[in-house]
Amino acid sequence: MNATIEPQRPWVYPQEGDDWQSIAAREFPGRTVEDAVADLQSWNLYLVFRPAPAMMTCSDIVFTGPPPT
Amino acid sequence: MYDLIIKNARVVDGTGEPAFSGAVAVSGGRIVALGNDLNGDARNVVDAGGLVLAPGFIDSHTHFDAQITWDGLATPSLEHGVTTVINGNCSLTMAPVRAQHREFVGAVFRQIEEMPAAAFDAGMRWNWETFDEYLATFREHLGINVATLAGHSMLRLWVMGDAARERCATEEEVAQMQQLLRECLDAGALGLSTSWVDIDHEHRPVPCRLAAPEELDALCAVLGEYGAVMQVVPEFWDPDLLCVRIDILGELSRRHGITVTFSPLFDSNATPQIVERALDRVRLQTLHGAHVVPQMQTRPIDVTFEFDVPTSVFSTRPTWWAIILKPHAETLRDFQDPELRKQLLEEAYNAMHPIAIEVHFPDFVVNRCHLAHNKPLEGRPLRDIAAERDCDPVELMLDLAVEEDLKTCFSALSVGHDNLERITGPITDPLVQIGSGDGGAHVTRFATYGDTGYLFSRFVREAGALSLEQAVYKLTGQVSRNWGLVERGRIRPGLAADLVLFDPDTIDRGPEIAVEDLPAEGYRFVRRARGVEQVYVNGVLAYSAADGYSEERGGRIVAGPKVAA
Repeated sequence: MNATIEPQRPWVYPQEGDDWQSIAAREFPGRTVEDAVADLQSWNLYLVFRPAPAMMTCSDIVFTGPPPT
Repeated sequence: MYDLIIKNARVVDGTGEPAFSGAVAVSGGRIVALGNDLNGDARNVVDAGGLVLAPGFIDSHTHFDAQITWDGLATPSLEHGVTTVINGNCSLTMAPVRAQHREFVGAVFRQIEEMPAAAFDAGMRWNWETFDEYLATFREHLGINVATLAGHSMLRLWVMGDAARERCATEEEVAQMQQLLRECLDAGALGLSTSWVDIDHEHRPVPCRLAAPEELDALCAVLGEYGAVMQVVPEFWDPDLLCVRIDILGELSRRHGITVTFSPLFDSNATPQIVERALDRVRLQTLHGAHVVPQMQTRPIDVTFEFDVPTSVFSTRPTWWAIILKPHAETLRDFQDPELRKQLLEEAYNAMHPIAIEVHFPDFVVNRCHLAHNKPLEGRPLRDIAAERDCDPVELMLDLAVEEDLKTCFSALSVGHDNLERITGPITDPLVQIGSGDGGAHVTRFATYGDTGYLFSRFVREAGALSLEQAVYKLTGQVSRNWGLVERGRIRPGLAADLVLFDPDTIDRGPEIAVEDLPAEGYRFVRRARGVEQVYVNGVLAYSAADGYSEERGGRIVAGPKVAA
């Protein structure tokens, strides 16, 4: 069976040097960065609350959509 | 003449097939014959008295990487029937590590695996750099079989130096890591381990977490060349993240034709659907041709702590966490500060539960007291003692800790993975492998031994959820199949004579006890075994209930399928 498996939620990996703003601008080009960042952060609280000095890494998962209802 | 015949046994061969009454013959460390009616002479004849004779158990998730260098038996594994341990999990291994990185790697290992620093420093005679040199330090001293993964964090550190903690690798660096991984596999590494969650002693991501996805993909390509396995720690507490990681692992498995295993798969009251959702995703990936193996431990989570060392129980309580991180004298002072006490009590009763566990402070048990007059409190919940003394249980805990100069140990028992209604089905699921035991790690927090005995006592005898044969299969044949340990895990002619003789009616884990048997007189928590009569490693009697551990050393380095040990 080779059909593509659809992810349960949309997500991306951060690119090196990314922050919330750069991910927002790339993933949501039709929206204001401010609004898109607010949504991104609400969908990724585990990254928002990650204690310093731990940072976002290229192996992290960043959800680009809300949890399934 | 055979070296050994074990006769009059109930032979459970590790395939899940029904047991049969008979005998097994061993010569040259190999099983050479078995059957109902085995004839022939042997130098040593053992009458099993009707006990179960099974393949030696394989403990697939251990961290004896340091301990094995001073303890070639990986105690107390053997007495629980374990004849092979798989070390090097979670991206952390003792090789390949350059001399200038020993301090860092040691600190990371001690932090994540919660090993006493004094014991680690006293026990480790760190005189190696390469994987080959590491294996050579204990190859001749093994009483138990040892397989070791190559840690992704160590590969990055070797190639990139300190930059491994800062950035992604260049293409050239990735190519160097690939070659280094080949060297480790050629030297006898079983596969690769990595982590998406661990942080080091400076609260920074461990080096493997700085890897871009292309790097992990490149390393998996090497695993594909060797038919080797990858082990990963995913975000085991978050259902959505865990399902994404299962999809990622499925893709890597299909693309490179490898087995990938993740650990742990934990049940939690905080996320009661997580196991079910994860297994559904594993089933989907399996239907699409992937081989993704979740590992579950059999035992509930217990955490024992003392206030001189940070522990996950307090990780979501910022005032507690901040105070515990302070130097000893300041922690003592703050625990007596009336204003801080108010904050501590507020957080104790009203803060979020930590990741994957649910803690209720009044239910904590006094585990060990330092002062003689407090010894009668040992084993008693704070709630009960506080009721007798008409005081608050959390205040009681703080007062006791202060009185004992922070030397009191408390235990948070069954704080996770203890809902048998939710766990039993997954434990018995054919897709799930028993593992995630963490033997050799967290030694001053809880005992990571005895999961094998507990499988029989809890899930075979009490719950009737598994047959004896199925339980043995889950500890032997299934593990050896998943990990490519082609010469072990079943009783078959030609395979290694790793054998355990046990009483199916009594095999179990004993109570958790503290023993002072680490280097530098350190203590650790262990569990003794019940019901295990004899354990053979490559045909050598390694342990018996009557005489304890043998002086003979029959253990081997166990390599992957493409490399001879």
